[in-house]
Amino acid sequence: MGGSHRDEVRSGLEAHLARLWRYALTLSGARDIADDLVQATCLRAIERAHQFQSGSRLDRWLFSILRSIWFNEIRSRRIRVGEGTLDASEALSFDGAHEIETNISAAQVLRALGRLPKAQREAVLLVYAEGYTYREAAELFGVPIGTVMSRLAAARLALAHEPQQLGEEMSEGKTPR
Amino acid sequence: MRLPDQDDLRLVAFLDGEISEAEGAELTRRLAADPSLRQRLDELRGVDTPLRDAFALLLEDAPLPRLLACLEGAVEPHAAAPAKHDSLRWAAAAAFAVLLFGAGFAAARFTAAAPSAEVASSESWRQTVAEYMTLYTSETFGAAEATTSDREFEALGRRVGVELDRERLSLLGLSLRGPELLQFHGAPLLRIGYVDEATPVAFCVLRDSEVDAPLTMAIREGFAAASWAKNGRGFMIIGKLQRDRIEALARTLQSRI
Repeated sequence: MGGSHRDEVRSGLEAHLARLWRYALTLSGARDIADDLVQATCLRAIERAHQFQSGSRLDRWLFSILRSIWFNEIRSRRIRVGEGTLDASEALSFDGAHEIETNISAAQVLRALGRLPKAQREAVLLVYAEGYTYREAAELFGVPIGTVMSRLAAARLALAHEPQQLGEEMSEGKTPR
Repeated sequence: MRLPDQDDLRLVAFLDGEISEAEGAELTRRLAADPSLRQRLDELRGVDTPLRDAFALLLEDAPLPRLLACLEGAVEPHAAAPAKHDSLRWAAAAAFAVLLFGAGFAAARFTAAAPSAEVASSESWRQTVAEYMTLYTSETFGAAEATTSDREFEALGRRVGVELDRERLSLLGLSLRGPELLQFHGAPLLRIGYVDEATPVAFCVLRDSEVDAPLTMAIREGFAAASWAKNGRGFMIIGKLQRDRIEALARTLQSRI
């Protein structure tokens, strides 16, 4: 039995690696930390494969593991050693190799997302990209549904008012690559 | 930047399908009667598509080869490192490099739910190597000419099922640097590093690779790459050199190995 759980968790991890990394990047705001966080999540999930209940959603289980490692271990450790985290807007944008002309507006949105408070960013990712319901997100965060709602509304408002700012940025000569 | 008020909360919940039926009906009635409320709704809704695109782009940006290597490492912690009893110096060097570069070569390109035992396709390992080449500098393979002995090269060669020594590997105009033993989907993968002035060049051999194939040239991730396969071993030499130069180097290696 243990073996089949392990196999299930392993193939689930493989199928969801990119999504886990995206979540890790959204939480940490730094690519190197995101890599570490996914690695730690893989280790922990394999270790605890027996705790996974077949039939429940494996991706949600993996996300909750990743989140708990971030909040309980990595973030606290980094703060303790005084590293802090990078400016998230840097990490959430793209390097030249990946930025495609047609996706400039998406890249701008990513930069704007990077400027949001982390709690809003996380809510936006989970609800809008990962399909969490308000209730599911609230349970994961351990907050009332109303808090999730106001994080999402604040984020949408901020993003909706972003274009003017982006326009200024571009007229200052920061042309998209 | 204004803070969201109760109407913003309702509008967002409405857009997200998270509003109660009664509140939804009430809001619909107000929207019909209030153009400024409709404008706010449009404003909030305008974020949906760019947000979806942005997150999709972020997903594409995930460093899958590296992540897959992390996963392989988590499943079989010993898989990426050479056997313990190998006390040769290269073993320590390779283990260190694997740590340093995140066991990158251990990875395949992401395919949903690909079984781990699946034999690496001739395409996927080459593409993975090419992706890792983009990270390399002239210093990656070591700062000086390799001091690896013939005996060590022979031992490495045996791991990938080919006969190797310094003479076979020496290439005109290139400085031979450190070898590195890696693995791809469980198959041993040997990478020999070279440097041409400041340009890293890698020659790779994968055991258990593919059916025999003649030399073909391709551009991978902006690098010139020559590939061939013989006796079930896959070969590739790749680097940011002129295509003809890579092809000539490949022919030399092909005639010797």
